[in-house]
Amino acid sequence: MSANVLNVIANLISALAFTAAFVGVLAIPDRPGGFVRAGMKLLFAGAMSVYMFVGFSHVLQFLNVTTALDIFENYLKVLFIPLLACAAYALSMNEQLRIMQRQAGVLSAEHDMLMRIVDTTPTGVVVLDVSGRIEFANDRAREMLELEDDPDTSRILTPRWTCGDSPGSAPGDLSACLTTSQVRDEARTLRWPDGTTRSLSLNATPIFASDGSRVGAVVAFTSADPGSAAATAI
Amino acid sequence: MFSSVSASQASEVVNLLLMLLLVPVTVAAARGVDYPGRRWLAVGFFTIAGVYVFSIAERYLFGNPVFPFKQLLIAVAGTAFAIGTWQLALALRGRAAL
Repeated sequence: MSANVLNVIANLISALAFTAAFVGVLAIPDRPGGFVRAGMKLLFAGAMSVYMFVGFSHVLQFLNVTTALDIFENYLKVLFIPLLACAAYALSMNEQLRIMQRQAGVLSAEHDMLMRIVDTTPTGVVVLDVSGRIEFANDRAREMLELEDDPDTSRILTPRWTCGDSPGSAPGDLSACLTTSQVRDEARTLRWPDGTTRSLSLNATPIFASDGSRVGAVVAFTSADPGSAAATAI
Repeated sequence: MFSSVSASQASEVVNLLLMLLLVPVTVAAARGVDYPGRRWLAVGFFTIAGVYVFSIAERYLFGNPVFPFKQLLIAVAGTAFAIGTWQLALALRGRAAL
C-alpha cells in the first residue's frame, strides 16, 4: 500500500471519527438553565471540529482536489488543546454544580421536614442569638410568648414581657431566664407590663459555631401555669 | 537551523508547549468528574499529545516517513473521542430521562 493511499485512508477515518465525535457532543442533552453544560458542548464541539476540518482538508489535499484549506490547518490545530482543556474544566464545573444542586435539594427537604416537626410539636421552641434576641419561634412559642413579626423586616418584634425571676432584665430577653447555658426543666415566670404572668418549664441548649464560639441557644418550653401538664409534673 | 524553519513548523512547537502547559489543568479537571466515556476521552487526549510529539519528530528528526503514522494516531484519537463522546451523550440522556 502506497504512503499516499495510507494517508488518505487514515485521514478519512480521522475525519469521519471526529465528525462522529462532533455529532456525539451535539447529542449531549441540554439541561434547563444549564449554561455550563451548553458552554462545555460549544467548546468540546469546537475542539472536535478542528480535527474534523484537518482530516477533510488532508483528504482533499491527497486526492489532489484542493490545497486551499491547508493554510488554516495550523492555526486551527493550535486551538485544539485550549478548547479541550476549557471543555474539560466546564465539564468538571458542571458536575460540581450538579452535586451542589443535589445536596441543596437534600438539605432543603431535611429543613422542610424539621420545620414541620418543630411547628407540629406542642412545645414552644425558640432560637436565641448571642444577645438573647429571639431569631426564630415556632407557632406554639409565638402563641405562648405573644410574639409578632415586624411587617417591614419579617423579624420578630421585641416582646414586652420580662423574665420575672431576673429583675431589671431587658424586655424580651429570654436568656435572662437561663441561669446556665444548659437548662433542664427549670420553672421560670414571664411578666407582662400589665401584671399578667405566665409560668414556663424551660429547657435550653447552647449553639456553637464551628470555631467553638457560642452563637446562641435553643430554648424549648411548656406552660407551667396551674392546671397545665407541666405544672402537675413539677 | 531555525532560519529554514517555516511558520507552520513553529506551530508544532506551540502546540506541544500548549499541550505541556494545559495537560495538568485538563487532567485535574477530568479527575473531578466520573462520567462514562471518560477513559476513551482520556485515550483521545493523550493520543493527540502523542501526535504533537510525532509532529516534532517529523519536522526535526525523521521527516516525511513519520507522517502516515501521525495520521494513523490522529485517526485513533478521533475514534477514541467518538466512542467517548457518544458514551457521554448516551449516559447523560439516560440520566435526563430519569
